Amino acid sequence: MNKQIIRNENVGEEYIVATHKSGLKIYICEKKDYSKTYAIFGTKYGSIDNCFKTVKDDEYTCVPEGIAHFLEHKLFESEEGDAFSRFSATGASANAYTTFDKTCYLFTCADNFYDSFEILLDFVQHPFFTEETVQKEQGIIGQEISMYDDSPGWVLLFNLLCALYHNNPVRINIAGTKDTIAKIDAKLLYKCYETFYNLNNMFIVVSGNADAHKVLEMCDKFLADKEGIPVESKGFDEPKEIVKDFISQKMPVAQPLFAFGIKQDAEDKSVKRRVETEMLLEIISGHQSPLYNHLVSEGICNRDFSSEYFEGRGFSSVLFSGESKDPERIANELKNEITRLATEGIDEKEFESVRRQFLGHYIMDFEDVETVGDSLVTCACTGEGLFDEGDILKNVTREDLVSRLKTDFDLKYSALSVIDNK
Amino acid sequence: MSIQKDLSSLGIKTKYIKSNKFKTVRMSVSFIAEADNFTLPASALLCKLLTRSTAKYPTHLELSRHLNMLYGARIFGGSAKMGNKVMLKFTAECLAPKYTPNNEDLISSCAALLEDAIFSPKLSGDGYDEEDFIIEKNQLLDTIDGRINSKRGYAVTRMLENMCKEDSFGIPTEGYREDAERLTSKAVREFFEDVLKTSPVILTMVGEGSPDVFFESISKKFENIGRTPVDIKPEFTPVSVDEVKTFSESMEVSQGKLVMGFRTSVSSLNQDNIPLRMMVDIFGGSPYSRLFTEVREKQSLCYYCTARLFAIKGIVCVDSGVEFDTVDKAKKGILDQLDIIKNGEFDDAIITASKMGLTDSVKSAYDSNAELEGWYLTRIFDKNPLTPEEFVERINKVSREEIIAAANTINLDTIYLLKGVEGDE
Repeated sequence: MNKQIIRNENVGEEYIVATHKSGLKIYICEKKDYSKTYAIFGTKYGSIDNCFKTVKDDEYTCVPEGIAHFLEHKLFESEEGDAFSRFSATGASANAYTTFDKTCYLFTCADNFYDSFEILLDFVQHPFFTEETVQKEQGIIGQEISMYDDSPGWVLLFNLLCALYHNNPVRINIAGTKDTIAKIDAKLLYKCYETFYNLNNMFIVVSGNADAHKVLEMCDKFLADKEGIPVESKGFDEPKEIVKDFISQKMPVAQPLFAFGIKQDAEDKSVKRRVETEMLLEIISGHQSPLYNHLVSEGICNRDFSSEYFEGRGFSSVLFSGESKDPERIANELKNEITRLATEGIDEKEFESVRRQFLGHYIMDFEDVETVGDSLVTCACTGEGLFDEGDILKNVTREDLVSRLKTDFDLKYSALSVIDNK
Repeated sequence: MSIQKDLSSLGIKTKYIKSNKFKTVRMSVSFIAEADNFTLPASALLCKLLTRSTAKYPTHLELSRHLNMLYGARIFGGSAKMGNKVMLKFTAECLAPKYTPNNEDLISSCAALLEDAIFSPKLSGDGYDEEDFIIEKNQLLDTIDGRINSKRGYAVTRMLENMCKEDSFGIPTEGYREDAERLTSKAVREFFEDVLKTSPVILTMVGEGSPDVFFESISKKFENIGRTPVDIKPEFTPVSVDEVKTFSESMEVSQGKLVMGFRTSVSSLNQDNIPLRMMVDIFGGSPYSRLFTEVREKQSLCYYCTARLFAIKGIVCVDSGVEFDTVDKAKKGILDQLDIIKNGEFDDAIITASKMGLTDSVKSAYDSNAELEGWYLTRIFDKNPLTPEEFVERINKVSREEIIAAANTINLDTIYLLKGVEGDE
């Protein structure tokens, strides 16, 4: 297998990137002084991939919303029983998740890593669906959807995405609805599986107490010897403009929840953009910012106030959310602060304080096996390197941030979502 | 793996856990106090108030910028119930000096900040700075009001409140709104002055570097205030169950929450509770458990259904998300699983799975400085506090008979149901 070792002396870490003949990438970060090992087998397939074809197909296939998440649930089953019970024989703790643009199967363990890794490689490559098990799952996922419907934070986010996006499938609930999942059957699940779970579209990540050489040997032995097939999701026409600048809903909450978002163009997926955007969010409303301290001391928002760079394949926006008695005032104060920073620039001391904070947290993140594994998943999906952020933080300037603010924080494309108390 | 230094005459315990694999160093100062309607909200407020500013960095903005300049060091506080007592914990975390560009001594800087937070807060008159106090009091009220936002957590809190009416363990960690509203800056300061003088203190440090600077300098501060330590520790009195208490509430929700509280006579304070821990793991603490495999997966009665143990109190809590029309079936399904364990009708494979699963999670504690610290602090009053290694050894000796015996100490005490409002169901 073709492999490359990437080392960084400042952080005191190294990792290996190898490419399987199918095109699947394998990322391994050994941490031999740790007890725990974390492994992920994932596919670049999430809730947004609802219309697709492979190079072998002429036509696009469109499938019901929520099917990627449904498939994640079903893959745990095989003719011999479910994967959880197989992992219980090795002591590993297994799980899986589906996001907008990927699905990951994972486990952590302290002992018997290679036995658990073999189970992971096996069950993800062997689907087993019958009409009967699909029907049963419709009940279980239906209950999961009910739980999301009762979660004010979840409803708040999807309402905002519906206000920001016209056609981008990121506006669709990851789990779908009870109606859409009722349309799922075994045949459709196999179709999605064959398309997106081909190794060319997948990745493997291992971090922690494992031997890289042995991991690669096992990948060679247990990964199917099939040709990888490139997949294409159908594009959609998403205008720059938003749908509407305000959306609200009533639910039982203690005080109103708000999410203010700014839609951005989704072309630039560079690490530089991510780091600069995240620094800007901190400068606009982090704990060291005048705005955050002003809002808290005036009692307009509480400690739950947070911001996020919300981005993935085909979508990009920044979000500010929290609880407030006066969401519209928060949105206005955020707009004013963004305008002020774009006009007046960023204070030198504040910039340096945020840069140092980011440098520190960038290194701190390497002490946790799972954080390292999750960062490698991002590397596998975007092609970035694990140490890229450190280099960017060394060289970033105030001017870079101001120019990023001017291009990426365009208030014409902002919207406010509110959940009011019923 | 650790050295321990005893400052027992001052009522101070120290624990240093040396590890050079972490990128950070973590230092904490913890206090134990009585838990009641006043001290619980007061403790929750203090933990946030004292870590938002200090006399030297008098605004949150200044303190935050100072922490940022120390390469994103953090200082934070939190309170938690330990049975019928409360623990107040103040923590500082920083990058290990060798990872800073100039090998900067962040440990001393952070130890000094922690000391300042505890001993040199921003004061005004005979209380804390009034503006900061009001900010944090409002934040606390928001936290209390916000419990309703997570229906799952809310339902568990309501069950425990009703189950433990005669005991301070039933009070939510941040207390009640009306008691929090009544807090004054003066009363809270007097409470903390008393804590500083009398409460048991535990100093912990995890990571690389010498603990001497931190332990010695802060111990001196305690010495200077003339401590008169009082022995405060959680207590356990077994409660017998005469009849099962049932109650329900309605809210606009699309999924119901069923929470069941059980009592046992086994507390970590009075005996070895490892068989009970394993029993709870087999009952509902894991993906191989009876509640997950039978009630959720086979019978599809709940979206989630898990059991957990409040070890000091000897309370087992089962919480589940259920459809409104299958509540009775779910209740029966859960109780059936407990009976199956009581009757020993389970195979050896689940015992092996539990031994492996629990061993695995304990060993993973070595990989986090927060978990290593937590391991020590949560067991500080146990009759027989085990190290992670001893814990693993004991787990692997637990017999089927011990698991069955532990299950037979458990009795259902309280059932709580959060249901939808009429017309919505």
